[in-house]
Order: sequence, then C-alpha cells, then structure tokens
Amino acid sequence: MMRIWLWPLVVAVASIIGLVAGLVSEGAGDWLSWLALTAPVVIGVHGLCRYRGRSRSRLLTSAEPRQAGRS
Amino acid sequence: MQAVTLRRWGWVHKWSSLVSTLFILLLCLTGLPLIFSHEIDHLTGNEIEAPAMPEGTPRAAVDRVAAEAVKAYPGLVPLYFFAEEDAPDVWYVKLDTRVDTDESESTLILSDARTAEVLGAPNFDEGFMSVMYRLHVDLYAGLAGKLFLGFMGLLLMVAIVSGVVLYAPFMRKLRFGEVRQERTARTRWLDLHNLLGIVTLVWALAVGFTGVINTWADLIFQAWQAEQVAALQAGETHVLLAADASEAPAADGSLQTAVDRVLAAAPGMAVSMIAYPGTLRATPEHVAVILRGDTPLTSRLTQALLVDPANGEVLEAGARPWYVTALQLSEPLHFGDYGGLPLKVLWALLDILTIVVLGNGLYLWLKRGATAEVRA
Repeated sequence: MMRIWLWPLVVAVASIIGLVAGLVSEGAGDWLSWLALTAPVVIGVHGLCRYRGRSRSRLLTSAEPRQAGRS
Repeated sequence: MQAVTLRRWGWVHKWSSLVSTLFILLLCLTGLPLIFSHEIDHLTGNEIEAPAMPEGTPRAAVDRVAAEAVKAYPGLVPLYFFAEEDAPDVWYVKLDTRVDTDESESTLILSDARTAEVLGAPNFDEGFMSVMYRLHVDLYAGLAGKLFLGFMGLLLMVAIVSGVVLYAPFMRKLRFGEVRQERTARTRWLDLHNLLGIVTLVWALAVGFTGVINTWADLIFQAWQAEQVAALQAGETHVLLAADASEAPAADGSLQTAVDRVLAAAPGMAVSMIAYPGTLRATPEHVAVILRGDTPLTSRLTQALLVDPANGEVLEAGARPWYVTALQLSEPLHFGDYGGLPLKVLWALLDILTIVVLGNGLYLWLKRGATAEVRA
C-alpha cells in the first residue's frame, strides 16, 4: 500500500503547496509555488518522453525480424 | 479490492469520462490561450492603455466618468465601475440598456480615471480570443451553457476520483512511473494514462472544481443580493457610518461622495468595484462599493459595503457569506493568474498533460476491443 501511494502522495502534497503558496504570500510565496508545481510537471513530462523514447526503440527492434521473415 | 467493487468503479470511471471527455477536451484546448489572454492582448496591441501623466494627477469624480461614458454611448446607462489593481489610471465601465438586464449584451468600455475621457472599448466580442472565451465559458448559450459546462466539470470530478480508486489495483505490480515497454501499445498507453493522471490529480481537481464554482457565479451573486436585501428589510444591518457622521464629506446625492464616505468608513481598503442601485451586485436603493485589501489574499476576498447616495449612510448587510468566499477564492485558482508568468507557464504545461490524459483515455476506450480479443 505504502509502495503504491508514496510518490503520488508526495506529488499531491507538492501540488497543494504550489497552489496555496502563491495565493497567501507574494515574493517568497510565488517562488515556492513555482518550485512546488514544477514537481508534477517534471514527472509528467519525463514519463511522456520515456514513453515516446521506448515506443520508438520498440519500432526499430521489431522492424528487423519482420523484414527478415518477408525475404 | 473485490472484483465486483473494481468493476463498479471501472463502470463509473468509464461513463463519467466518456460523457464529459469531448467537452473537457474543448475546455482544456480553449483554456490554453485564455491563460495568456493578458499577454496576448498586450502583444497584439488590443490592450487599451491610459496616456502617461505626472504622478499624483488628480482623479475625476466618478459621476463625471459616468456622464462622459453615457455621452459616448447614448441610450445606455452605467451599471458598474471596475478598478484593476495593476491599472490604477483606468476605470472599466459596464453599460447596458437597463440596470437589471442579464448583462449578456452589455458593453464594457475603458475610461481615463483622471480626465474622465472614454479611451475605447476592448474588442471582447470579436476575434480569436473572444471565440475561445465563449466556447470556454458558455458555448454561446448563456446561463444554460455555463451550467451545462459546470455539469461536465462535475462529471470530470467523478472521473478523477474514480480514476484514483482504480489507480491502486492497476499499480499493484508496478513501480511508480513505470511504463511497461514489453507489452502491447495499449498497455503502454494505460501505464502513461495512470502516471499522468495521478501526477496532475490535485491540479486537475483544483482547476476543475473551481471552474465548476465559477459557472455558478451569476446564481451566487443573485443569492447574495437576495440575502442583503432581506437583511436590510429585517433591519439586520451594521451601520459603519451614520448619515450625520461628521468625519466624512456630507452626502450630496453624488456617486463620488457616496464612494468617499465608504472609504472613510473602511480605512486601509481600496475600491475594487462600484455597483449602481438595481444591479445584480447592489440593492434597489443602495450603491454597493466592493472593497479589497492590499495583500495577495485579501485583495481577492472583498468586502461589500452599501451606501445610500441620498443620506450617505454606510451599511454592511451581514458579513460575506461562505459561498461568496468560495467563489472569490475560485477565480484565481482557476485562472492561475496569481503568480506571474512562471505560474501561467506551469498552468499551461499541466493543462497539456491533462489533454494527454483525456486523449489517451479516449484511445484506451476505442481500442478496448483489441485487448478483449487478445484475452480470448
């Protein structure tokens, strides 16, 4: 249970801090808000890049045997 | 989780998503340029600005601003004056044929706060940004459109919550953020859907729910007005400045004096909005002056005071009800406009990630047949 929810919880807490910090204080609050909201963005974009990277490498490796079979 | 429970949550997730997906996609896509509407207006030269004048140039009485506005737009009457925190030299003036219309055909103009001169009317009704705005806010269908989009937003909330419930069983054998590469394309899409869904969770809930609250804005103001009128009729008001108080200029029927008396009654506050009697934000007899504080939070949480322009009595008809507080906090949390450009960029990126979640959720549903065959 802990294993599944640890990271989602960390990201959720960072998001909440990010949403609230800029609202209650100017200056330092804005910086904290930018920093904290970067967490979900970075993890999301990283996952997206990895997905695209993997699907491309998969295409490359799967192309060869298919061609070999055809010839 | 039991198989039956899991299937039920799966059903809830599937249908709440399917019904709302296309509309939520539309909201995400149209919302993207709206995040930057201020910057876009500035770049395209659509922004109307007041000419530079020496600091401390005296401001014109609001009555004169109103008179100039009416002279420029014959047949219309002023409803509201709005003051923007970052543009102290202009008044936004909203005009309409009557004070009690639904304001859907109202005209918003900008006036110079020092010379009372009409500066122009921003082009809210034409162009790309206007189409984005209407598609985002009411689908060109007024209150019905707003409430419909609000309902779609509620379905999104259901989809998000049911998605979180489904997250754990799907992630039982996976590490956080794992996108399995050895499986079918559908499996990889599912892993990506789970990852992006869970990281955008709090943001999407916050922006989605505050969006829903914003669709109720008209109803909230109507309820608040009714509450204020009821409090006035029942005599349950709190007098902040008596009609014969000597510490403020005596009432002379003018709007400016009425506003000055409100400011005298609430030191340290600034005018955010002035509403004429009979409008949605005021009462039939009183001018409402909406004040804001000077910290980031108190500048959002406004205080509404009522003033009788004839005798100058300043009243507060009950404290701000909780539902108005909720609405006022919902606006910045929906727009993402409270932390400069970096926050807007983060808002846009999270919006794009949400678009990916919606898009690949739809893909997963469209490709459901393929896996059924594989399983069989």
